Amino acid sequence: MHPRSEADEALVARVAQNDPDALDEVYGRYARSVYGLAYRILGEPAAAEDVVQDVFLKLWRQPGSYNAERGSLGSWLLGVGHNRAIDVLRRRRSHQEQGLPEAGEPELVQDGLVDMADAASVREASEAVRRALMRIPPVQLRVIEMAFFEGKTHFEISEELGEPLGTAKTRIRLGMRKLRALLEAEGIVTQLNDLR
Amino acid sequence: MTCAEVEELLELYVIGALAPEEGRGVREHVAECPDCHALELQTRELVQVLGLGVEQVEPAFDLRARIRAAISTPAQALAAPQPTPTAAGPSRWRSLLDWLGPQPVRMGAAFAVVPLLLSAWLVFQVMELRTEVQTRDMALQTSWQTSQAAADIMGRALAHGGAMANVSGTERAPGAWGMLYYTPAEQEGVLVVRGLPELSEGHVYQCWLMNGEQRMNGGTFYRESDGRAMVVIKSPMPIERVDAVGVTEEPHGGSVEPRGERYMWGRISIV
Repeated sequence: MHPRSEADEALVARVAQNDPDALDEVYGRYARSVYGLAYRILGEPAAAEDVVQDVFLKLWRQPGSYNAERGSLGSWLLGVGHNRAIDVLRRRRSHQEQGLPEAGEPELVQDGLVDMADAASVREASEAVRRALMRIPPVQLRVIEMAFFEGKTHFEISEELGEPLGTAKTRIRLGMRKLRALLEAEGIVTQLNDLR
Repeated sequence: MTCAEVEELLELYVIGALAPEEGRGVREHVAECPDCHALELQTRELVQVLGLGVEQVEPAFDLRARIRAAISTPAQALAAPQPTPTAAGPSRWRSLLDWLGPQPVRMGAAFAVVPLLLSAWLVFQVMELRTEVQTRDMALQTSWQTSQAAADIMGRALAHGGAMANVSGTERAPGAWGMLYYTPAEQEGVLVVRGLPELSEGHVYQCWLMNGEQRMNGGTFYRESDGRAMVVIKSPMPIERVDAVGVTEEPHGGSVEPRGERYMWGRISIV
């Protein structure tokens, strides 16, 4: 395992022992990524800051929620932040549209995600993801963004774009599979060949 | 639902694009099928990587201190206060007094309790003080880190290849003036200003970078009691591509786009 991953685990162990300096160090490593994502989803600094605060308070109060054997700390924090931000977004819309599921807690990912404790790795991975996204056909990228950043279901996406339901579903699926292939080629996500 | 059906819906399920009833079907199958569960976790990995594609953004400088203050507050203190029994109150107190015995015994008990209460109060005071000191330490540390970053940026701005831009007060702040220190090809700058007026409670100053019609958030900041302020600006593009810099008054936490009164403005040009 990468030595910085161990450092992340050690930090979480210190957080579990109520060491505020450890939480502060985790904040220093990941707050910009979590805030960037929350700000992208919510578009308001104050709301994005609330999400960041929720994410780090969750780690402080429930450090056992994070399982190091199933993924990197950075991806887990991003997952919690994404779910929180989408929940906020959906609550904003809830008076207009009923029945949307809350995002809830993220499932933990398995090993294989880039080690985000290394700042250079984070930058490289971010650039690789952006490069990959630019190579996805715009119509597929648009529906992925509507689902991921706007928390919309394929019903809402097809309605908004005025396209058949099946088209929206297919575009999300094809776009995600294209993204996977591109990121696998970059070594960013785990190969799935042995699972399919 | 079969494995093949789940595999067709997995990307939509994981990204949250399925309707609740469809998602329930996938969730139930995945909970029972180890192969599909493994596939689901891998697909979640892909979705979480999407978050990496977003630009990192520096949150407000005081957020770190706010989180530090929040974790210093015991969870019990944040819980909703328990309702105090009122109707049964007097009779319960009476029962307790009766249980303590005759009045002289009660007075003795009271004298014994006073040091305990005093100790508890002192412990509480010490804890309060400790929390306050920790919060101030955190704020000082953040302030120190900001100062260090600002000093680095200003050092580069004053060196060969660096640049500065005058920023003047508007009618809202006629006595305000300042300077933006930056290196044209970089995406960081430091805005140092003086003479800013005090804002009403619940408001902050917010810096904006202007590129044509585009307004980009440069960060929020507060003035010192003497009207001075300094903010490290993170620009989404090299500052040489920015036309101008402005400062407005916005609600606490800042705004997505400038909505309040403009207090300062300056064109980006080498002085």
